[in-house]
Amino acid sequence: MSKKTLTLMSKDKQLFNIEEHLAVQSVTIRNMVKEDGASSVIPLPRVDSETLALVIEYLNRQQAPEEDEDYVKKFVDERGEIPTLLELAQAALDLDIKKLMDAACMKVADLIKDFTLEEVREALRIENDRTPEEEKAIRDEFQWAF
Amino acid sequence: MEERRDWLQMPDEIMGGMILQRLDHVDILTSVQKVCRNWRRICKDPAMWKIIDMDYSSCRVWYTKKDFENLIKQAVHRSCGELIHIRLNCPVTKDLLDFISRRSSKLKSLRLMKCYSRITGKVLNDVRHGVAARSSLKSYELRRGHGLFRTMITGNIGLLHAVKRLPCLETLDVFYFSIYPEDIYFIGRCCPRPKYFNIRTRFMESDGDALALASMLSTLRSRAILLHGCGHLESPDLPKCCCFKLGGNLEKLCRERRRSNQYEFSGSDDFCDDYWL
Repeated sequence: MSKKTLTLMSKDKQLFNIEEHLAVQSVTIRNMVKEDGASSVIPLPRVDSETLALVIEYLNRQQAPEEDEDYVKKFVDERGEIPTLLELAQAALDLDIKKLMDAACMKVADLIKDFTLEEVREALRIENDRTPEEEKAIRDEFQWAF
Repeated sequence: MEERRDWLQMPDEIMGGMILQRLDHVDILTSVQKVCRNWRRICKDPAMWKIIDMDYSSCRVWYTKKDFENLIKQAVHRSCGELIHIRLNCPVTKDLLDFISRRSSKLKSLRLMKCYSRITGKVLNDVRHGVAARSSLKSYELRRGHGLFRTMITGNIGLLHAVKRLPCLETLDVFYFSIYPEDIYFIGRCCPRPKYFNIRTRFMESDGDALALASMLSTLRSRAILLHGCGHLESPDLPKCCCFKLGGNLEKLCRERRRSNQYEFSGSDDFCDDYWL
């Protein structure tokens, strides 16, 4: 197989090169290559350059298939920041790299499972957007429950 | 300053399907869904509740049994009939089994790890003591009609009714403190397509019961009935049996069944440790 190189472009217009035979681990890219040879730059409008660099690092790994599980686990473990992991999960979803997405999501779930409500909101930068009426609706629902 | 990323824009398939679904189901009901409006919407999606796994013993907050049962009911309610697998590690009452079975016609897998209601009185103490000193289990003589078994009977009836209402049931994994051979036979007949039946029981009332069961099972079509019990086995290569006293006849019967590959009788002790009354 010839070592053809593909160019991926992140949201902030940075270019990354990657060998085709590695890039096709992404089902999205594989399909593009199949369709039109993907000679030009592949734009990834939802992936920022930091995340794309991580994805490229993941795709460039030199691992035997049987060590893959451990590798992807370690890979996400080293990046234990929830925002990074979520970006990674989103990029993996767009690029259709299932293993990476699963691992990243599992890690996030692991991290937030022991958080309190406030900690979750803080970690994910979520505002409590519920109105007092909705708060009441939830309480009423729990009246039903308890 | 770093741009504030709006995580609420994350596709549902990541946030709901991949992340929130992995959280503890009790937590989802009691706290996760309160994080924000979007998460609440995701947590109400019946797709989140196709699989329900709730464990009383791993809860961080103390719930009364009634509260916990209500949480389970809410989870089942949210599945809107889409429930496929349910695993409960808590005392399961007839009422709860009714609730689940009436609403979940698609249920394929029912796993009840602790399937009896509260037991009080002397028998309880005896049993507890018996658990502490497992080796002495053999000496326990429990007779039908005692308080303990009356409780069991109601529980069993709940299960029988539930099984009747679940046409898709393929996997049944229950821990009953005591179950009657007739019940197991009935369950086997009610389920048209069992793939895996695991009925774990601590006590068969007598050798007679176990024998009756063995002979009834031989007339059933279902091949995948596993019975676990506290068999104290003299020989390690014997087919382990579903009763704790292994009599001569029964041993022979079990051997025959085993040879014809109809049933697997096994008496692993592994479940005896996580005990909970």
